[in-house]
Amino acid sequence: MLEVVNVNKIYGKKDKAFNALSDITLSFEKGTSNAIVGKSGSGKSTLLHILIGLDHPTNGSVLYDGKNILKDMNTDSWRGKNVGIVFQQFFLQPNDSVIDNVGLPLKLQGIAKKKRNIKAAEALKKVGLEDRMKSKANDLSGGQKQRVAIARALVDNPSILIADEPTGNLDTENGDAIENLLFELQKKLGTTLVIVTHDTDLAKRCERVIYLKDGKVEKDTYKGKK
Amino acid sequence: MKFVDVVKTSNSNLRRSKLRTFLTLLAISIGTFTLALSLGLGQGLRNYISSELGQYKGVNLYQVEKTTLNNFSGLGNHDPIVYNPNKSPSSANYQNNFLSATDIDQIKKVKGVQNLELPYAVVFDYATAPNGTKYEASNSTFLSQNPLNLVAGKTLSATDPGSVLISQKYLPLVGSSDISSALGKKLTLTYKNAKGAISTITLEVKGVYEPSLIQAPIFINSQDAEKIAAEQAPGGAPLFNFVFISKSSDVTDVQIKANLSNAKFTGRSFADINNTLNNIITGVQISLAAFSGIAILASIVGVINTLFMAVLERTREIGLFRALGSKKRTIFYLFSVEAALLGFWGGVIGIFFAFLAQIAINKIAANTFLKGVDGIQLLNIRPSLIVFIIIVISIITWIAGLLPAFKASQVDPIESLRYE
Ligand SMILES: Nc1ncnc2c1ncn2[C@@H]1O[C@H](COP(=O)(O)OP(=O)(O)OP(=O)(O)O)[C@@H](O)[C@H]1O
Ligand SMILES: [Mg+2]
Repeated sequence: MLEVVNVNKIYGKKDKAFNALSDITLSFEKGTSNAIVGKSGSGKSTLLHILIGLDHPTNGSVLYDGKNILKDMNTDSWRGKNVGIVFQQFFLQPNDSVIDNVGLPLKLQGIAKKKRNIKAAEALKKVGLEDRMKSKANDLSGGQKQRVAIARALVDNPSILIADEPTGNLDTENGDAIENLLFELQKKLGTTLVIVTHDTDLAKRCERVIYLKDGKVEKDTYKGKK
Repeated sequence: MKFVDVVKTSNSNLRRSKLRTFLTLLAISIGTFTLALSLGLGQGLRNYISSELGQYKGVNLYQVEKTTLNNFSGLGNHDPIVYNPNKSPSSANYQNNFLSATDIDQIKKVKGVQNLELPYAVVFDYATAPNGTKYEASNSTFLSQNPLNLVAGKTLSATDPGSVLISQKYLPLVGSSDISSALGKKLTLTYKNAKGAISTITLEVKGVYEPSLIQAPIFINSQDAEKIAAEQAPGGAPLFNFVFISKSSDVTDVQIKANLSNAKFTGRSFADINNTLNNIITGVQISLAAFSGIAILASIVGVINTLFMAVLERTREIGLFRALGSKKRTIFYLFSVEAALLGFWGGVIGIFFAFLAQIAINKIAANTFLKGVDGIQLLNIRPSLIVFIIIVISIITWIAGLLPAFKASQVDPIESLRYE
């Protein structure tokens, strides 16, 4: 379980201080799908970054299975092992092969090439790109690139999958395909999914939708419940 | 990250901007090239000296001269000097350096001096070969402790009148083509006395030795040398700036020098001369290395610049790596290894070309100004030197990369992944 407890994020100081997040407390149950929606500037990305320890809250804490991710463990290693991230802009290494891109998180963890390639091939199979392993990442279409990014996010079987506007750079058709893939894999693998999105249709496919407004939780709705 | 992966990643990062990497490597390799050549030259000379003077190792031979006052202050361009009756006039130093008969007697009496020999300096105008060709005939007087590598015959005893030793290269002077047939042959030498009258002396070859740079090609026995030197001396008695002695076994090297020094003489062993030469070479080597050091220093600026640019270009990638779970220290590691690799490859390239240059220069030297001098390799870049240089250069560029690598490790992943 991933929790944020009484998290505040203040940018700037004194009279220039700006509350990007105010007193947020949320918990994400294992294996659930969650959407964070809100207007531009409402603090969605900031919350996401704090959630995975890339950013530090001004105060408050983030707990993973009861442990503070910033204080009780090496945050970077924890993120490497437990969190998969999918970005709006894919962020692939354009000149590397597809399989090398997918194996990158394992390489950073110090896993040998043989083992990396086996795991990367498995992950590519899950996203249906096993026949493009040797292609250069740059030679793929947008939808394919995002599939590679998903494979990269899932290569080490993370318990949490984070996606910031995963379909934002794709046309409707490709976007839908990526959506379907994300939910399908989330169900199959039992991953906790947290998606930041503008897209209300995408948000409604999640079991839970959190509405942010000016850095505060405005609404927190669960499917089936009101 | 695994070390092999770090090295592979760094290497492929270097290949990303080929021109920039090439220029940086060029600068480093020029530095290493000159460093390798200057150290190689010093090593070559050192090897040569030790191969030549190695013969003198453990030889019981000291050159003894007067301890000079060392107050020589230029011949004329100095202020007037107040006369001091306790000091010899500085302009007379040169004359003062000659050893008088009393001086020589005094040296003989110094404790530990066993055997004193006089280095008669004899000048021959030429040697006449059996076929009539006249050759120059530079020579030394043979000293009993003089180490020579004989290839045939016997060495000279302390006196041995009528005998001579010649170098293996001087066989034509006695009309021989091989070593053994030279023994017993006659060497005819012509000289002028003090008044200019011409005389000839014929000596019998008793031994043939390996030539070396510092040994004269002809050694005449001291008895004949004494006679001719007396004829050639303007006053009838030859003058000496120094004499040779050997020490008795009951005194140490330090003791004999101290004893001589107390009697106002300076004694230097041949080992000292070897050391002096080595010190000179070390000095030359250091100053040459200092110049290449400047070249390397300049290339360091290039390394730092290259890496700062790489950090700027790759901020997004650094951010991605951080987001995917790599620690700051992994990022630092990647960039500092990249810096060390610049030094490594620059060093390898520089040394490769230094090696080619060494082959060419040694060949040219052997065919031109070192022609006829056996066994000398002008440049000698040893494998240990290669390893040493490459390691040192890698460490230097690694240090140069510390600051850029630190900057890379401080990249804010959120900032760098923000979409523009
Ligand atoms: N480094 C920063 N310094 C100052 N203010 C910041 C910084 N990062 C974010 N902010 C501000 O914090 C607020 C929340 O930003 P955030 O990126 O979380 O919004 P968002 O909901 O993700 O918006 P979008 O939908 O446009 O991505 C914004 O008003 C933004 O201007
Ligand atoms: Mg955002």
